[in-house]
Amino acid sequence: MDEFTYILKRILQMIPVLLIVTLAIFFGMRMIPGDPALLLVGNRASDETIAAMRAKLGLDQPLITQYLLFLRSCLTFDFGNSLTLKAPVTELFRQKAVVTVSLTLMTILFAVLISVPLGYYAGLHHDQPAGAVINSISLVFVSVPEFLIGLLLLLVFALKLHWFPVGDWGHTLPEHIRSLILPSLTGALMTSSLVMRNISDNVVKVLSYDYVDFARSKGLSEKRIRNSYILRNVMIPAVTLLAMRMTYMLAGSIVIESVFALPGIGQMMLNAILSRDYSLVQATVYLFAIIVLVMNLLTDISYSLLDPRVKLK
Amino acid sequence: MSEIERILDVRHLKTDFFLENGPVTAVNDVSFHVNKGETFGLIGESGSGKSVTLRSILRLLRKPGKVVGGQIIYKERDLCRLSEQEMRGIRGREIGMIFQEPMTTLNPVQTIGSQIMESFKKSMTKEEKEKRAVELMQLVGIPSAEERLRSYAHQFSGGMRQRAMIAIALASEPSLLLADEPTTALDVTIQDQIIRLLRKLQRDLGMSMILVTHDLGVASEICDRIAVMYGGRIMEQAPAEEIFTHPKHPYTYDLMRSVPSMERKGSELYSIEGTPPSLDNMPAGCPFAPRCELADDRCREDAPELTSVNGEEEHIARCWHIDRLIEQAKYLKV
Amino acid sequence: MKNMKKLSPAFWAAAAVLSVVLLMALFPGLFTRYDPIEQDILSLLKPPSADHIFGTDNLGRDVASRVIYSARLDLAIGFLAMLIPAVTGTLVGLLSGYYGGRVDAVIMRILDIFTAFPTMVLVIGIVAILGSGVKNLFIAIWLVGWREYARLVRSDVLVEKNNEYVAAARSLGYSDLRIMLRHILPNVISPVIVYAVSDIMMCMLMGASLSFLGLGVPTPTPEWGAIISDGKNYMMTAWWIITFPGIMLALTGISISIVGNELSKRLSRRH
Repeated sequence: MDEFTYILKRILQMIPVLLIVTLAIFFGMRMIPGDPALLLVGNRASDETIAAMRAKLGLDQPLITQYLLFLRSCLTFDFGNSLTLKAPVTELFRQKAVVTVSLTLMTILFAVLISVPLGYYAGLHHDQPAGAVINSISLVFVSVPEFLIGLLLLLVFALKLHWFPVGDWGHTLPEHIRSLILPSLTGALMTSSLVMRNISDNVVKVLSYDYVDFARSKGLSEKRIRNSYILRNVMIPAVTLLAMRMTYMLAGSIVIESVFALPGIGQMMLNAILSRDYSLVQATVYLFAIIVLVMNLLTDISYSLLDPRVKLK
Repeated sequence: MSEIERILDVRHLKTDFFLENGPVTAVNDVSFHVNKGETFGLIGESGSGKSVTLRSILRLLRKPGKVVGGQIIYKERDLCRLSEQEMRGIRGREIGMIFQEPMTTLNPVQTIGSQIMESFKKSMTKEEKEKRAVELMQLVGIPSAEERLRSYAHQFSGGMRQRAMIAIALASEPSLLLADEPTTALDVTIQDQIIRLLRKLQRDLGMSMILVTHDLGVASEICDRIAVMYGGRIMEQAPAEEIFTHPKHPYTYDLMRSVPSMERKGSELYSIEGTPPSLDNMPAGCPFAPRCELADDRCREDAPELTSVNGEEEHIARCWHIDRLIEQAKYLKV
Repeated sequence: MKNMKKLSPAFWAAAAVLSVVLLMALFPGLFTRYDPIEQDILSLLKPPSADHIFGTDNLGRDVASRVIYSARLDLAIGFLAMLIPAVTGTLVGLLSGYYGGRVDAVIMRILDIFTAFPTMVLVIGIVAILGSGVKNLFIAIWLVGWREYARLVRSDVLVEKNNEYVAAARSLGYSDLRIMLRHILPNVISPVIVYAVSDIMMCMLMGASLSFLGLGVPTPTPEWGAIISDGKNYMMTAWWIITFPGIMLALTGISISIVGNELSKRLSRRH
């Protein structure tokens, strides 16, 4: 019951935040100098065409009416058609989301596969050369931008060795997966560096606690000590960090999708920004905000499920 | 009483810590034994090597500590020579251990019940395990044990956590319990409860116990025999009564004087001048010499050996001035 | 002197790299005789040679000179984008922690709303709304970057303000502003400096990434991310266009991280 009230409260708290988001989007875009209608129809268009476009965009209405109209779209999730892509915005978003969400999930998968064993190993050997090497590598991947790593992987494994396709999302599931391997590896490298360091630091910390010695003094097997004492305590902060990185990855997808020419939300948003497709930009930013807020809530819930010390309140 | 059975016999134990600047000795030639059913006290200030001695017995030393010499005979087996696998059979089932800080000794993400039950035999059914766990929790005085089975450490008070830790250590019925400062982190009133509980458990279960503490009051309440450690060495060892009434080592004597007591209420509390020597900078002679009121040149140059006091085998002390102390003790009332 | 000895070789290498990059930023003319924007139709996509040590790009521009001239803008983005949020965030944190109560509650509430979104999400969102360009890039980072500084400083001030020296300063009748800036600030500044160093790196990478996407520095301004963005279409035929700015960007980022790490070790040891 407590949990239910908490979740309800959190959902209600999202409303003012989303309201601020809509205000920021709407008035932010109105502050940009230049007439969006003019940009769309071009400088040489006749006055009538411009006026028609202004009417189509609703720009002839008073500002407050325009905002209320935008707010209505936000509530009904009906943002009309994209001007450049000539299709319903919500439908476009849904289609592209498949790519971006798969990319994010696979990135998380890679990040876990890389960071958990390496971080655990580095933590156990933190005072030895092996630990130092792992930490140095992680420093490199935190300090180099993702697009650079992406281009490098693309150049070597796709363009030179032809192991992976370039910019081809494919039609079947295996094709989709194949086209996601390099992009998700790119995204995973920086995240795993961060998570790896987190795990390694926490292994050192947990090993300094008496409960590991106490578990040994009980005669438990090393496997049991590793799983239910060390790993469980280490994974709680690591999972939180991973969940936080997940929202980052959604935004990072704009870079990675651009490098690998993947048809996801990031790519769509980038094109919308560059072609000044305002309705599409507005809608994507807004939907992005909702996803981020929902993921934050899920993170907190999963945290409370993992860690008995954390109560939802 | 027919024959006294020795359950543990520590002989010439030496434990080193291998630091960057070379090894330092934390436990130096320590020998003592524990009889079946008795409580043996290891007392001393922090850094005296008493906790390291305890961890050496169960081979729970943290890096870079290592036992480098001596024997630890438990029921006719030398623990130093056992494989890690054999040692696991000793831990918990033969020798259990409880620690100082219950907050950091219990796994924060595992229920207390599960931490008790994971020590039980795999052949037991879930119901049997739960029943036995509840019994253990009742035994250590945890109220409404059945509900508490599913609680986590953070839901317990300090004293209850300490009781839970004891229940966990008792789960596989050890014959010998090592207690490392089990009351230090607790409030005074709760300290007393825990000590009484330990004494009761030890008697009821016929367990032997080694109690490590810096608290003489605690030691006097529960220990049968006591060894006083300083600078990694045993300075004096005797039956508890004897050591409290007739301390023969200047360090033991100073320790006694620095404890507040009812009789000396009002008079100024004694405190030993100086600090214990650091392990990497041990004095050449007697480790206590720099702080000792009786120290002379011999003390500073030559380390004394443990010798028996008044020819009594049970009472030994490491001091060049035992005779002077025996004289002095007649005039000083501790 | 004793401390100087303990600095690792990695630190010295990083410091050397950063010195060279700084020199490039200040005096690019010392390193190249070419103009970074001038096109030369007669030498398009030429591989590295004695004439053009890093080759030329698709418009016949000298890649080496473009890479060298980029240093100024990349460092400037990293430094300026860090500086303003660092100052505002520190001030906000000081006010929030020092006064507590309603001031603190309001500031924390705003912080909470902002915290819901990761930096990258906000920056891209803001750039998406305001449009591309260096100015909007700065605005986006300035609007977002202060959060971490405010949080860091606030939590330290909450501890620090209970110290006796603050009470002493108050009893001497010093103004709140003086106490905050002269007495508390010096005691809470260390973690801010450590974070600021890594923040320079993060801002630089953010700037380069946005330029790579075409949302940052407009062409033909030389900037490492922008050069890589232009050159990525010629990746197979003219590898040199993206390789050299890539190496510079990576080296600079790694070097700042190493220096930052060393700094944080040093400052944490002192405390």
